[in-house]
Amino acid sequence: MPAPESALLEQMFHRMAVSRAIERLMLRHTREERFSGWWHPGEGQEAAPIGATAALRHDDYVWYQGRGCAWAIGKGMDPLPILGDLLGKMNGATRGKGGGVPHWADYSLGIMGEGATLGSVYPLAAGSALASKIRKDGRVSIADFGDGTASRGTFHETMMHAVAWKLPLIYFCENNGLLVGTRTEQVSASADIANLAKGYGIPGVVVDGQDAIAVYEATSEAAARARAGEGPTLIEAKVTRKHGHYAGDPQHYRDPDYLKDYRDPVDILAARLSGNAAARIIEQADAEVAAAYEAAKAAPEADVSVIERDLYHVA
Amino acid sequence: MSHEVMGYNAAMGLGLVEEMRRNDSIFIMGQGVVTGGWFGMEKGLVAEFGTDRVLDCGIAEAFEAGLAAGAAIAGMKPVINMGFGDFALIAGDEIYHKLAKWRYMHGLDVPMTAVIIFPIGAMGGAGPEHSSCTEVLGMHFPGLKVVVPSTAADAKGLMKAALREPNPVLFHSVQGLGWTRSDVPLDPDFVVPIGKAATRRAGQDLTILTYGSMVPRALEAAERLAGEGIDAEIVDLRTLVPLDWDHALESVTRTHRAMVVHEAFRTAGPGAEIAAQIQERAFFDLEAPVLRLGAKDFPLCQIAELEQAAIPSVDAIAAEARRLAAI
Amino acid sequence: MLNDLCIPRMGSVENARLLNWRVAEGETFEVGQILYEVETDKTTVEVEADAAGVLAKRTASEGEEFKVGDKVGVWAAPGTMPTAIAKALGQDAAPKDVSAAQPTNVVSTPAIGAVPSADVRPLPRAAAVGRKVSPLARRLAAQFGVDLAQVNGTGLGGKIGGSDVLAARDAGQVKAPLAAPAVPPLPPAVSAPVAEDGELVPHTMRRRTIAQRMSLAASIPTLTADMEIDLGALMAFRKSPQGAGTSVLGLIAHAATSALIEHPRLNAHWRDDAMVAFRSVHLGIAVDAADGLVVPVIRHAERLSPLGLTQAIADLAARARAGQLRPEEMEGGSFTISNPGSIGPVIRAEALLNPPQVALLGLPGIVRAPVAVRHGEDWAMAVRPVIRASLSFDHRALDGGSVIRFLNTLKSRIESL
Repeated sequence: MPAPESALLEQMFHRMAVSRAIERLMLRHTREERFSGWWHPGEGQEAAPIGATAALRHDDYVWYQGRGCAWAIGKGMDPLPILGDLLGKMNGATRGKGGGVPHWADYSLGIMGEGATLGSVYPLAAGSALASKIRKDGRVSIADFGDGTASRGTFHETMMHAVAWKLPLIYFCENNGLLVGTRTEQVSASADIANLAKGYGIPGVVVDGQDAIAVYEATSEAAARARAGEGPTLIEAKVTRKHGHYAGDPQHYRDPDYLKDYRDPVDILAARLSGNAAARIIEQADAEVAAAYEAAKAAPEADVSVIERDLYHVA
Repeated sequence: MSHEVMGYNAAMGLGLVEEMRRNDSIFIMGQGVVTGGWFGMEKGLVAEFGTDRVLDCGIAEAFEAGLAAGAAIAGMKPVINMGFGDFALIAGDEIYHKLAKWRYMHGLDVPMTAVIIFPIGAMGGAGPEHSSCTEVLGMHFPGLKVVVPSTAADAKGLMKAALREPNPVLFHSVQGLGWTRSDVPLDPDFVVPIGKAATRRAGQDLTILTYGSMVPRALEAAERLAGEGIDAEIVDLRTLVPLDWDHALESVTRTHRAMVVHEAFRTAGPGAEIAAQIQERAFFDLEAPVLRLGAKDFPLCQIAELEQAAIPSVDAIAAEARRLAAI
Repeated sequence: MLNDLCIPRMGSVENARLLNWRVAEGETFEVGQILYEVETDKTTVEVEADAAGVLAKRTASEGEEFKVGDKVGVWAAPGTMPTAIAKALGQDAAPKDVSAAQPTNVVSTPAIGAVPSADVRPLPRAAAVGRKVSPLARRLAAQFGVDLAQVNGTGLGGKIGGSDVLAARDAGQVKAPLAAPAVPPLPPAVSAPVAEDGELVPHTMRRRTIAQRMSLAASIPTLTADMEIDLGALMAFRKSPQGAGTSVLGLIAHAATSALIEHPRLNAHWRDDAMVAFRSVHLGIAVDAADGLVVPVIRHAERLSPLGLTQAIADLAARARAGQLRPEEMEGGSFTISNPGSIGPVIRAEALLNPPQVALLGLPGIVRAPVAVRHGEDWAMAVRPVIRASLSFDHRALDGGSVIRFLNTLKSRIESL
């Protein structure tokens, strides 16, 4: 599997740096300013979404889980609608309905949204995959999920059909070893979620989720397989959840030294770039996010008219 | 355009076929649809549209409804035959969260067409987990449209309207009416608009607001009452969300007496909401309290006779109407 | 055995005036049944029976004043025969035909007279005791001035229904309508000579009516309160899918209608003897027709959606301008909106009342105006579309406070659309 070309590498790094800047900013914002809802920080977990989305086409469908913002950034969304949404502003992607559980979506970018009943996107992703199969549009759908929601009934229901119908679908697991505070091994016989693929007769791939390039390569292979009509792949990215389940989580359930072997995805990807490109891109990303944050803060607050919008569409 | 006498399920299927011919984005999925469906609605579909657009799936209702949501969000127009209305509960998250709320919570004012077919009600011994009337759930959770046709023509016309509707529709087909036959327009442009009630019988003395399986029973009761000098008006609501309040109130403010009849459980059934709104909106036009008639608040028995005894009969409707007229 | 029936203790109340009896002499009453109603220095109170019994005699008349503890009547144990009561009272004969002397066991709805509207409701509680009266009957009785006490109920258990009230009306059981308010007479028809460059334009019937109505309105002590309303949210709503097709007037009328439901005192008629409050909003819309001002009425405006109200207004205005309104479409309004702002950019829309209505909303032109808006903790100036609505009101019927509270509700409804 070919490594990404340098232009793509720089784009990946840029999107990772933007995601990281938003993560840092949100941690500070939720600590120091008024914030409605719970922010679920994704810092340290950016490599999986950035690597996976880099392997996708512009029009491929992503159904993401709710931690961090890197899936949307990786798929090409601007920081402003994301920050506007998190801050409950009228210029947010949801016109201010949002909060810490992200619901930003942009169908034109293939960013399909997030189901806040965790692990609920399997059949939805199968729906867009079936749409692609019927329309023969060559698109791939990703159902992104955490290890905790591999227990969901629809994991199995959907996989049964997706395999039988050879849907262009990728099950993408971000395994951070914790579902809120419960360790994966307390509820799963196998430490590797990818093992489940064996029963369905499809490839189950474990990759280093801190390394965006490794994720990129695994996803490229799965996408090619899906586009060729060979059906689903289960990718399991082993990732590190650097922070609590939500911003402010005291994490009593964790060893104090859980970060002793932590490897940062930004450093790992920066090492692949030449010269001072990494420093330059980080500076640029920080400035972009700072500007978007100011614009979001200056935007009008969501007003009560938002409550009665977007329920029914009138033709 | 001509008419044809056909069965309720067949008419629903005809509506589906006509729309599938008009629009390539429509596909249907369910259990046994390739072989014509459990109740015969999907007969002949696979021959015309192939297995890309006519799909059999396993016993996986949450998957079916979730797939409908995902496909609809991706621009398709899925039709899912859930087999039984009871299974709404298995797919609760997918129907009442995903289908109903996805656009709302993502702040997207975009069209989203999906039709979930829920065959509801008593059909002669299907038992307490295959006979539920679950339409009230669609009234309670905002974001869905809810229809319940009572005639073959409406089954066709509402199916067509649902497939042209830019919002998810819970289409409740009535199991007890599945094999009833009546006149159906063959005009491919015939559509029964969602949100419009129909007066099935004009009357002066009281209004029976009903829908689905209870429409023919209410009509029969009205004929009986006419012989006793009670002139009942029968309004078939047809759509529960959005409900045609203008039509209902016009009738009630004319007859000054109203009762709601449905097969669903009486307690917190659709009639509770309908009766409440009528008294809120037309209190000073009423001669009597708004009465409700629904199934006994017990699970349905599998013995067909006991099943029938638990839901409103023609006799029960007539008796309740007499009581209403006497107040 | 007779017992005294006395004015009970009611908190710190000392004096009470007997308003009306709810139980006739000789009538049996249950525990909890209302015996009579008194007016105190604080409020009116319905006095309930704390034991079952038979009212033997009323010793007090309606209108008399008492101290707490004073005797107003005597009562006997349930089942006591009339002859026994008469004997105990020291009378020879059985009680007289009480229904002839006093209202029967039905409390008569306070006099309403013939008001030209449906959905009329007298402000005091009109509770029927002992007999059932349907909501429809209650409405019709008020509408046609029929005394429910005189109506023969043919429903279950003697229930009075709408048809019973209509039968009573047709049988002539209608109270005398109250005298119409005095209207200043019009000057005699002009026959004085006209200057050469002048033209004599005789008054049309409508002009005469308008002159008469305006003179009447001008004789009412009227005040006007103005309030600035930010229309930003309303404009945004009109652009949303839910707001498609709605007009500014339609949306304001919708907001005013729901505000009136919340503040029924403004949705009322003034009469010298009583106020008539309406449960429904019958919304008059002043329309500038070619041959003079007309005010068609949208009945039950509260049943209409913003779009429905928009369409109803457009329809009435079009037919008013085309001279196609039926007389009954111009009657029975409970509140009026005047919208001169739609004709030109007037800056204030104070108007004369549309009697007997007690309030009228005037809408001037919409202007872009600087408004202080909140920006987080700070305030900033923004240019917003605003309207400075005027609420003219009959100061006999309404005090300033209730009017301002209505305007507050209206403003917040419009600004939070």
